Amino acid sequence: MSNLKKLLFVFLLVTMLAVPPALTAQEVPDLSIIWFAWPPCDLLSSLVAEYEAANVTVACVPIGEWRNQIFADFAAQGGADIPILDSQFMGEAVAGDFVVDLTEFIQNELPFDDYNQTALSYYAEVPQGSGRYYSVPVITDTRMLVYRRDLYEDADVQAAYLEATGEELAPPASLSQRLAQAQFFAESDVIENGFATHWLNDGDLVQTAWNHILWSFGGELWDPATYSVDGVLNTDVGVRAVEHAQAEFLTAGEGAAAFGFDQVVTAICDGSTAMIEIWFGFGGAFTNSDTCAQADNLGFAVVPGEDVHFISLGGQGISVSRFSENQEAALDFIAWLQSDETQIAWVQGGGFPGRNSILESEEFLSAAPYNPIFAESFQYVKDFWNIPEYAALLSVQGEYLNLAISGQMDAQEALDEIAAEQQEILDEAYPDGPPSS
Amino acid sequence: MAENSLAPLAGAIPPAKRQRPRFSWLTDRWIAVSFLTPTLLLMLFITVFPLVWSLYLSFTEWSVTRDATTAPEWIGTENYVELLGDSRDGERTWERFVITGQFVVPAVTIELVLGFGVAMLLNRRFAGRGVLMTMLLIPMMLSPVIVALFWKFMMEGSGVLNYFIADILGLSPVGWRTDRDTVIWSLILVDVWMWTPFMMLISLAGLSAVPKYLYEAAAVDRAGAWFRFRHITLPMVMPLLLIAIIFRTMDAYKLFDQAFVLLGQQGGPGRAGQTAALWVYEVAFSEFDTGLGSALGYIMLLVIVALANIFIRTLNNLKAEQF
Repeated sequence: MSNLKKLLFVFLLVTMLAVPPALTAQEVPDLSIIWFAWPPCDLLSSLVAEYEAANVTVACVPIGEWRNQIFADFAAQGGADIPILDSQFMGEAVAGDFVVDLTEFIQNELPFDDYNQTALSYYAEVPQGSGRYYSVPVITDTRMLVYRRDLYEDADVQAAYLEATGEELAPPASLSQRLAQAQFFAESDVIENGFATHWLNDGDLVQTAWNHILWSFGGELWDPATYSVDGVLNTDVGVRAVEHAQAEFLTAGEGAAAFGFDQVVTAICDGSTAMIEIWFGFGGAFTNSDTCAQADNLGFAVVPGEDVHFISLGGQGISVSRFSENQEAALDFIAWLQSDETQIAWVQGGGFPGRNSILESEEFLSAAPYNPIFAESFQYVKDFWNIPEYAALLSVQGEYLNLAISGQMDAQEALDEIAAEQQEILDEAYPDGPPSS
Repeated sequence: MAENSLAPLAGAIPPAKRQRPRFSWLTDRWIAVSFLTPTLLLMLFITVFPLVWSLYLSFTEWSVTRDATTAPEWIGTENYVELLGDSRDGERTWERFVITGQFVVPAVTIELVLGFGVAMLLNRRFAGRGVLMTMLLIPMMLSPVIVALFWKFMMEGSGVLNYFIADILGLSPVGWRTDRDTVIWSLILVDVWMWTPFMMLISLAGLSAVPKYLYEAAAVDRAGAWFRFRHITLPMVMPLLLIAIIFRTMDAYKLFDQAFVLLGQQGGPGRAGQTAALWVYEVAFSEFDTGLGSALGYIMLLVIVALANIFIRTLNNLKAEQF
């Protein structure tokens, strides 16, 4: 081999091994955030551009992959510095020691007393009542009813509804009324479909669309004191809740069993559906007439209850990964995000704050037409399991609920299957009964 | 003689000028080893180590998220017994392999028949043959995720497929992604659309390699079209077809991306389209039952090795019969 080739080889070797210090030196740290793809994530992506103390990037992943991605990253002891976790993920994240305890930070560096205590407890406190906090509420959320205000105010439609049902047409005050109105619209000539929501079995879509129907009918998913599902879920009340959802599903139009967020937004915006139910976080999709043809015709209402009144809790807390090399910078960023100025920008962009003073502020109440009903809706919120077996329980529930609601399985049979399989999961995970704390 | 003739020359060089070349230590062998070592180490690290480690994990009860701070607990063959026995996971494993079979057999069969048929039609010279072939090959050149995404849109309740079925033909709309009896056929449809060109390409290569004199000899003997196909074309093309079948079967058996995009992690309603690969994904990366997931992965591996063996033996038997 010639000397020239050997020189070239040595040069290549040195070039490959050498890391130029100039490329690694940075003036501000890099911070990464992971959340799921929805409008608030886009809002956060634009908001972080204003933050100068770090280079912040936001990854908005598909909702079905959101939890898997975060926990696969945790398992690899890496991933985003700042994961935004669903309340149900918190138990698993804390049990695995994947997130930093933020109790002192939230009590000393943030206006602790100003946080909505329901949000703080559900999103951040593990176990509930322990006084230990592992996240800061980044967005509070629950579900809203979006309806075609123009139809509800139309005298001919009102008269037809009165004749058909003997009741005045107004945004539904109960789930039974919502069903009756959905059936009326689906059978009428004024609009194609009655009511749509996300009945798809992906992530927690079908579960969060159905859980509050069950709760409002007086049912329960499980008994958290005894970790019992069998005999708690699969009751007559549970069957009524599934049958109610089945009936509403039939008014949603073709392909509703595969409806995710996008299809639900489209259903009301394209003028084919009279009512939908979705998270407040999607509210921005209904106010822009460029992207939503029916934007000027829409009204917003509280999701009704039935025997009692519950609405599924949404929203998430922002945490700091234990594996982050920039934990201090991450805390500084969260402090900035929770500052009054940033929170005002957050709500004006369509976000929902976790702090009462911001929730009650004029800036928030006037930021969107649906914001005034948010506060009322939030008092009815209820959450479900936040134990490490969450994913397995969720998977079982989603599989059979989707089948039952779409009419491919008997309601009682579906609930029995869910109860049996979930009980097996819990019994296997907790052979000695529920954990003491 | 030569040594003797050079000896005076060697002695004439002054000792001070006899320096060692600057890179004399850098032999060709050393360079070869230094180039190969990083690759071998990388291979060991990213292929062999995970294989051995996951084999070990398959005999343990361990979750990479829940038990991250504790060592895996050795439980012997319990995971395999659970997955192959009468338990809930055992039933599910069996169901997933049945679903995978329900997908693989029709998909590969249809692709083979269609691909071979199109290849027969294209195995002649005509104007525009090149353009037509290029167009036919486009589906297999696309990313499976992209293919699944646009089929997903077409298969929506009010998508273009149902528009033709319901609005144009006046038939009942099909629940492509929502009906548990249909979802497997949706997967087959997408796979056939994407991979029939592959079968066509291999078949065409086989057909163009059949010696013309065999057909000429058959024509002299007044052999019919079916006879020529049955006794000349098919036997000559069969080894290549079998290789195509092996590739497609193994590929279809581990189908993940298309099914994941089209139907989601659980394979659509009632898990009716959850293939074995999706099941492994759910156990290993959603439920994070790492030990159980590793065992499931090894069961998949053993099945695919067995399948490949059967095909390769058949191929060898065919070759032995031909020559």
